[in-house]
Amino acid sequence: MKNIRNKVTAALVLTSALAGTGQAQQSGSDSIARELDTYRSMMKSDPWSNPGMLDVDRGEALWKTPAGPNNISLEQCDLGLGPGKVDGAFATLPRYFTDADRVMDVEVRILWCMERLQGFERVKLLTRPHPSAGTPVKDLGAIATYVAYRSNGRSFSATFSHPKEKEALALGETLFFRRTGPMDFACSTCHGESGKRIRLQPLPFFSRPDEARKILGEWPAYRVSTAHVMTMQHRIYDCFWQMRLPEVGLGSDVSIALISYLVKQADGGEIKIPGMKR
Amino acid sequence: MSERSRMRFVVLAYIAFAGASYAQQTEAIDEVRIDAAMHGAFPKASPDWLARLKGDQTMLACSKSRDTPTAEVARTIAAREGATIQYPPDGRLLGDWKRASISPKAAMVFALPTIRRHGKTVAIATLVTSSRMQR
Repeated sequence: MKNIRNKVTAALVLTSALAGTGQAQQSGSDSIARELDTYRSMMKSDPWSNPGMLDVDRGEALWKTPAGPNNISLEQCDLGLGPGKVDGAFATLPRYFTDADRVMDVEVRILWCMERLQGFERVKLLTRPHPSAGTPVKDLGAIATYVAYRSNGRSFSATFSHPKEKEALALGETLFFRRTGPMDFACSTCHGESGKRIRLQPLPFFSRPDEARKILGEWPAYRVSTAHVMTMQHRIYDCFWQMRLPEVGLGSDVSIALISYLVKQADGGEIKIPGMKR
Repeated sequence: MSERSRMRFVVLAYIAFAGASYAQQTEAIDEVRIDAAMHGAFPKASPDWLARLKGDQTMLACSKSRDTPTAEVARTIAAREGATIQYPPDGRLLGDWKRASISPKAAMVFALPTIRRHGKTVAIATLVTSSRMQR
């Protein structure tokens, strides 16, 4: 018994000594990058361990359950491929919708259906539309996560052929590089070159399609640090917040234009919802 | 091709590529449309904030050139911003650090703009400080 304990102790001492030398030999940033990769691959190793899947299920139930003053489900909502067609719809958004005479992303389109089909009040849906840390994504976000999930395995393929789609894209590109607010930030301040990060989170360089494709396909994503699913509209809202700007309205022309630009940069990228983030 | 000239070629090709990726890929959007979009996007912003969203001439020049202004534009920016610098009337640029105190002007930073976040008013200076601490 004593013998075994000695062996274990020796092994532990040896391991920690080796680990110590290893760390000393590695250059600082390399070892940090490797540790981060391990952390991320552990988070992603089992897709069913992603708590975001709970919101995919919740979103599906919300989509199929009659609700609102009109007490009907969203199953007749037209996401661009015809009423009730969910599979692959997210991959074709944002797009121009004739009935609304506007370019819409997935969240704004669902919002429109909740308003027009189910009879919800737009103002109420847009009051505090994003969750605080530690609380689940709002119903709209859960439905968006479900709809996005049903495009998994497909590629971003929005066409941007309608004049209003082209205009949204051009506005998005202009805004991406436009400095604004008290600190002179533009989106490109953080997303204008490769290899930048904020704390543990690497920042994609969105002018490079390979980086844009990898990241866009992961949103909506489950965020470990805030313990909820974060949608793309919420992501943009939070970027603006970090840029010290006021609260950007969900579904404003600005957020739709920026999402259009990002999706265009990610054209052809595979959709893998929900992603998992720091 | 020698190793050095090959390296030089790669670097130049990379610069050319990087430059190309920054060029406007879509049609230009005019200022009126941008302002309208920004005003619509921040419905709760005060007139003071809307002016900040618009930015001044220097910010606009930087945005337009995507932070790579021509030498001429850069000179204009430097001249314009240089003219706004006010030196202390007594000509002394440094104080006595042994008798350091916060001047009323520096203290004003803490009374500067506030922002609404989750229904609470937060001073921007506080945010800047906290973001520095997180780094």
